Amino acid sequence: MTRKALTYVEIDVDYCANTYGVLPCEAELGVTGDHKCFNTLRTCQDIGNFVNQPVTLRFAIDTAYLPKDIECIPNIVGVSYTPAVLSLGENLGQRATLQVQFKDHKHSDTGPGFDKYWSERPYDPFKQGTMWGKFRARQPYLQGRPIRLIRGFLGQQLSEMETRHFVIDSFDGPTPDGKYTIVAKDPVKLADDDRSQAPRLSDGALVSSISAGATSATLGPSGIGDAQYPSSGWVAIGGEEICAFTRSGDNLTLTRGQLGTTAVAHDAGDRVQLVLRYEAETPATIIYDLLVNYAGVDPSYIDLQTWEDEVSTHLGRLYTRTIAEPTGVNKLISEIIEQAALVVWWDDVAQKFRLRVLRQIGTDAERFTMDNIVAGSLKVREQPDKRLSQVWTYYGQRNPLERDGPDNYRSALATVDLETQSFYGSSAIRKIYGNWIPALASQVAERLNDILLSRFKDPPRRFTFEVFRTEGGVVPQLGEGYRLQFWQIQNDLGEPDDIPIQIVKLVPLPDRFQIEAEELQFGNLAPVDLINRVITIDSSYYNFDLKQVHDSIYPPLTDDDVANGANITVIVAENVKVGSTSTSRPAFRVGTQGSDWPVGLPIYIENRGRIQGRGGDGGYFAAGRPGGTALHTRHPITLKNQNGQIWGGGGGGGSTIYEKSAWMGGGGAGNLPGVGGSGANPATETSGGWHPWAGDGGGPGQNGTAQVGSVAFYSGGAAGRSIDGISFVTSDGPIGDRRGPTAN
Amino acid sequence: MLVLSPNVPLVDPLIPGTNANSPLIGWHNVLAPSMLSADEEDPNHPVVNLANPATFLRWQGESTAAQEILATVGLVDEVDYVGFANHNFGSSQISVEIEGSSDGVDYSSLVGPVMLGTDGPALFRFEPGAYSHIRIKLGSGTAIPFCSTMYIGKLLVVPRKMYVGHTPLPYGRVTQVANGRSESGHFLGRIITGEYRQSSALFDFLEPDWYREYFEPFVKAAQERPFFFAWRPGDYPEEVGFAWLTDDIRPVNSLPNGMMRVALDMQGIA
Repeated sequence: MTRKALTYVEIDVDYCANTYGVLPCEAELGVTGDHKCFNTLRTCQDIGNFVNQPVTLRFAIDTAYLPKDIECIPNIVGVSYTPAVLSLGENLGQRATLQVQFKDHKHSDTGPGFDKYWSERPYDPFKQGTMWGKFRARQPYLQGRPIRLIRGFLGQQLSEMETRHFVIDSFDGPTPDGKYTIVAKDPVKLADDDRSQAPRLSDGALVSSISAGATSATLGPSGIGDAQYPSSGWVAIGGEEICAFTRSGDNLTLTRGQLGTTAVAHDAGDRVQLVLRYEAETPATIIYDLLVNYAGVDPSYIDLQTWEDEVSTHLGRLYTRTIAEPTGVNKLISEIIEQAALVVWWDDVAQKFRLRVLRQIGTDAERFTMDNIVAGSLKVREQPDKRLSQVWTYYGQRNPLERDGPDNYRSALATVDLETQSFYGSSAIRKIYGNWIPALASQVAERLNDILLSRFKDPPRRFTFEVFRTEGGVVPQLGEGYRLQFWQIQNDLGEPDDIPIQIVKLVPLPDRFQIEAEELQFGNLAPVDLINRVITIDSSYYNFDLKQVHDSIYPPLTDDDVANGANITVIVAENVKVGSTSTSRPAFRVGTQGSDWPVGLPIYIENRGRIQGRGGDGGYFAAGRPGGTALHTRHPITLKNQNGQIWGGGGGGGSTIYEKSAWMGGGGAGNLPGVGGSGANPATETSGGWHPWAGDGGGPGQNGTAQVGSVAFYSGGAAGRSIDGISFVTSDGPIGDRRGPTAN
Repeated sequence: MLVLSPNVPLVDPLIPGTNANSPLIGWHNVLAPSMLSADEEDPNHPVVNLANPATFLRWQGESTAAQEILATVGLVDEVDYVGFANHNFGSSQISVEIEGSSDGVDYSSLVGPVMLGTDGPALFRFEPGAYSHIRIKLGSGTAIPFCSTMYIGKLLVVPRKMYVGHTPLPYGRVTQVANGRSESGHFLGRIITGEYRQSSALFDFLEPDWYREYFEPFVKAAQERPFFFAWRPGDYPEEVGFAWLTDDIRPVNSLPNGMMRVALDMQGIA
């Protein structure tokens, strides 16, 4: 059956609901203007009372069969659509552009959105001016207003037709040859770096200079504190240092040198920039926040719950980042798209932003075959430049104020496919600076590397083809996954292969769709594993809190997760040292059953490095201080320490008094070592500090000593515990090198 | 659709050769927006829209009830037709009757009432006369009546009839069609992506004086406004178009005695 195609374009223009000179409109002829307004912003004579009630204007490509029940102005000369191009797992891609060209003509100024007072004008509106000439003068504020491209067939209601939504970006005309053009983009444009930045630029600055040790500062100009700064948070001062702060008025109380930065002195006038920090958030939450709160995207464009379901089902990882300076939203989102292997795009039909984790396409997906692909339209393009044999992901950013580069990351994980690399005869390396991937999140980096390597170890092919708008046929959708089967694409037996593809570009024409799709193979990539949660401590770390670290990488565990077999494995890698900065904090805190962890959660700790408490400080006019605990748990764990070391901090040496002098004891061994007295040999990780006239600090897991025989002396501090909560520990194999007492 | 009053003289004694099949051109129009009023008008579709030739701007009533449109045209020109373009009188089963009056009080029926068979351009031809008021009486219908363009004026009757070589505007379809065929040879469908009506009319041996007195004013007007065109109204009264020129009309002196030949290239709705 022959169908007749229809093309409409709708734009929503601002229009005031008031009537000129009728309250609340206070415009008055001869006072506020010499003629009545046209109910538009540009012609309004009482802006304060402008009540916007947008009006839809509908235009069409003229045809003899335009249905009379769908009113329109049939003045469209042409519609040009440059489609969005999705960039799978790389960035936000290329925005779609819609360009509509209209011809100019006369218009009677009647109808919705035109001149409410046409009958009062002293001229015949049809004979005076032109449609677009008058429109340009009355409606110059089109940027950001909605525009829709509607395509359908004769017999359909407007609501049944395919509607694509865009936002007006610019216009031109009317030109001398009678053309008026509107250019629109999809709302991804709002996230462009030249339109939106996160965090926003803060206008505050230091009123006076502060030293490296100062803990307070005053913001200027006066009143800026209440105007722009929250009551607490983070600030970057002078682009050099990040501080935590609390605020009262313009006064800041500072905790200096935070988040990988060092406290330094600052001059008066140094800017104080609010820092945006995402801590253990899902990519869905982060991207939503950036789009809505920084790019100004309408929240109704995002179905956040659907996004959250997608990432929890197919990704199951959390991300952390400190953004210390205003940064383009597009850049930020593109980085997390890359680091979480996502694709985000504007679905112009559903009028929604879509988010999807890159993943396998099911064999039951809809198929494009020789039966529905337009003859002669399929083209296949190899993309050898996309091949990867190694992925190096750097993660655990050190200082958010410094430029990206290997030096600014604590850790790196390289995943290499040597076999495929040797087959292809050369390596193909991709480096990713994972500024969204927190420290210790090797599993996040590993998952990313695995996805990329499995997808690109054989370079994906690019396919272009056309699909006719057949009644009841497949209606392709941008971003969706399909299967492609075609004689030209064969397996090693010469049979048509069945290729998973994802549509990355879609041009909807009146009679057909032009499609560009990319092959989406994932080899033998395992599905996301949220049962066996692994945390690898692969570089030295202080005050390790398992609960805190786990929740910064994975979603918090629930009783249901445990019932489903969830478990945690923590690996302290070879040569890695886990220490503590305070004897009151264990080097490694597991947490408490019931409050930190669900009852019954299996936690397995394999220590191949060293977990060591802080050394006790030497006493001064006092006994040596006790050493700190290495491992603390109130939740059952299985501990494998066969090749590892778990050392309590050494106790500090006791003080000694001789005549009018007193000497401070040596610090206990530890990581960090205890502080000893002046002139004493400092403690190290492996030995206590000692002083000839005072008590020695204890070695790892050893008590400090007293210098007996002096006029007065004090005892050494007690050794720190190797394990506090030994009754919760089940050893897997030999207990290994464990120094220091244990306690229940 | 041409609707004739029984009283219309189909043979113009002043123009030899005219009869019921002489082509009709409805270009002359005395209407101005200020002349129009209607029993009902939708606020967004006022009756003044009938006075302009734009077929996307329409008058529309507010109900399906019978209603009237009044044109206070004055007594200046003799008129013999009312033309409608882009209306729903046919599909909505709305009867149409044209009445005339010389004083605005007493009206006499000029043509109709009649039920149009289609929504195509309609010409109502009646006995020439000077009327101060023309009233269009619309019967109740199945949908709210609307109409985009109305002309009231004097028809141009072309003395040379058209016999061969002409494509009536209703049949002058020009379509852009896409036929889909799959790689495996399946028929995927046929989609018309655009369509319009196009035709041309050639008039030969036009008397030089007649051309200059009657046809040239039409040529001038047609440079700016569409016109109604019935190519062979006696035999094919339903084949009426509302057309606009797509090329200039350049008459050619075709015989030594000054006879003129002229071609109209046009597109339109039918």
